Amino acid sequence: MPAQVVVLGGGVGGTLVANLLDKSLGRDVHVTVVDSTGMHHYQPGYLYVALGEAKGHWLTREERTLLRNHVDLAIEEAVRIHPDAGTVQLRRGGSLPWDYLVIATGARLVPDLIPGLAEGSFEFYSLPGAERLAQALRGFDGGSIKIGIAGIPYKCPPAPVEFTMMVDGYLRRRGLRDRSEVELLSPLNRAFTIESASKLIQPIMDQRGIGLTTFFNVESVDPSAHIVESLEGEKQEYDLLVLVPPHEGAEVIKASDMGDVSGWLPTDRTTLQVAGCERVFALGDATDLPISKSGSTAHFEAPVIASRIASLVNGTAPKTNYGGRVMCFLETGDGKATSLRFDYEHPPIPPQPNRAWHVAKWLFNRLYWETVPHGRLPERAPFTTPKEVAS
Amino acid sequence: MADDTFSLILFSGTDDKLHAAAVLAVGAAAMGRPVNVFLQYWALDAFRDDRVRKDHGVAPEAGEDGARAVIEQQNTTHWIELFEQAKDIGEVTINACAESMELLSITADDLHPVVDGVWGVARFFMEAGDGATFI
Amino acid sequence: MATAEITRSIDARGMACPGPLMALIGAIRTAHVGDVFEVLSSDEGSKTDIPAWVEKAQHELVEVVPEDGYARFVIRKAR
Repeated sequence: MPAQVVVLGGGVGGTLVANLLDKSLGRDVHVTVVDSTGMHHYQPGYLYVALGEAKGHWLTREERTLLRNHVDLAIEEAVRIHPDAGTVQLRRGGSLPWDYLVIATGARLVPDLIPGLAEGSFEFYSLPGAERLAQALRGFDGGSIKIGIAGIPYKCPPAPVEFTMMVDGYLRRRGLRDRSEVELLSPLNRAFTIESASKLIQPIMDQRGIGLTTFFNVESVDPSAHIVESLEGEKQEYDLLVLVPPHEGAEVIKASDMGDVSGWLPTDRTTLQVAGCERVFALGDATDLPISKSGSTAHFEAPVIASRIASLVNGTAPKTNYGGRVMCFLETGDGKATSLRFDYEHPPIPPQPNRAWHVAKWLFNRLYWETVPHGRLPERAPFTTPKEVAS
Repeated sequence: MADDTFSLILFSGTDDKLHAAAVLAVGAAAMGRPVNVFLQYWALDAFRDDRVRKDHGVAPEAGEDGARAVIEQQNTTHWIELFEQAKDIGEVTINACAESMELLSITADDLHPVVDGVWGVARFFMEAGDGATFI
Repeated sequence: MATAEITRSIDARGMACPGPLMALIGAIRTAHVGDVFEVLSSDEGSKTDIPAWVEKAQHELVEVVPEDGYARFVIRKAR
């Protein structure tokens, strides 16, 4: 009798873990991915849509085309998880039994948590949002563009910094930079959370006349007065406001009483098991771990979970732990980029932004569909930690 | 090297081809493939430390507009920098062909530091993956 | 000094991004006034970053305890 594995969520993590389990366990496992839309989105592309550099259709594919033949796909909404009973209840009725559960339900945007945000600002964290922002930029004729963060944690910490650097280039190309102001409202005391990367980026921002306000955590927006206010008690005026909206875990988590106040799952940092549930694993954005909510995190976590479930199925000792590996690109807007590669033991040592990393990111974006969800990217560089700190 | 090694034999020494080769090396490295670059003849000559930054011209097909575009590209990022940056991205090794070194009377000391070593053709074939790309 | 009762502990050791300060800000934003957070950080920068934000946002830095290879910050949401 094959082990039943249910994977909630058909994003990068869910798709990859399902494929890896099917590949390694074959007839010993039956994997079902449950996804409410059956569509897989390449979210890193939204940044480019917002800046008019890409179209949305390239960023979406049917999940069914990314899953191995023997992996089932249930295009359903999971409404409640029953860890003790080992079932997942579905919106349209019925439930799926599981021996092992992988929760890869991601992070959702909750704009209404911030008064005035939906009406007064733009975002590029959803495809419709990115398209709306692209349209606003097309109609922009000079003025102040301010970029800020309205909730923590959020997906892809580099993204607002990338947008800031790239919109500067966008305005230059349109001949609008001289009559515009670009300002990054950072929640911290520097441009970017990773200090070594911030040290590379801040001089570039200074050179280009991009402003930086520190310790600005957005608390509210006044759409009619065009004012954004921080919880630290400061106000700023804007003509075009781009905010990272608040994020929460999927609704099914709260409905199942499994997450914290924001719906993030309490997860072990190395085994990726959900607290108190030996047979339930959390993957990617859905966890409460204070690590990057990034596709690469899910990409590196998936093989660990697949291996651990395989060990449980086979009754053998688990062999792999998640070591905190993350790999992110950071575009600096002038045809250059840097990269952030780190894990729990090794802090990042980002190189000076250069053309090669921009080419690497460009290539990665284009080859994503053929490689990542299928597990076709080798484990090695550029996803290894810097050579200088390799043990 | 591994099965998916990307082996690139560089023969031509014009700036356009060297830039194209560098981008290919970066791309392969970005996809996690070990890259093995082998420098022969005029490509090898272009990697002489005292000649790297000189004008190596472009292929005849370039024409005036093409040549100008290549020069602008060089000023943004020179191909030698791309090769250096590729080494930070992944496993990239660059070796000089021993036979070409002899032909052109080049010694190891003459070469830009990005060149890792000198290989005979036989060694190259041992290390090459399933086939090689020739530029 | 009596140790405050911790509402939630955030173990951000070895986690470079988004980093211990961001994790703290996120936790405080969704907390009740009076909630107490403990943040474990192995990042040297936290010793200046965390107290700087806590002061700017007018919360209370209860204590900073050096441990072996990391530091423990205890912060109360004051408003």
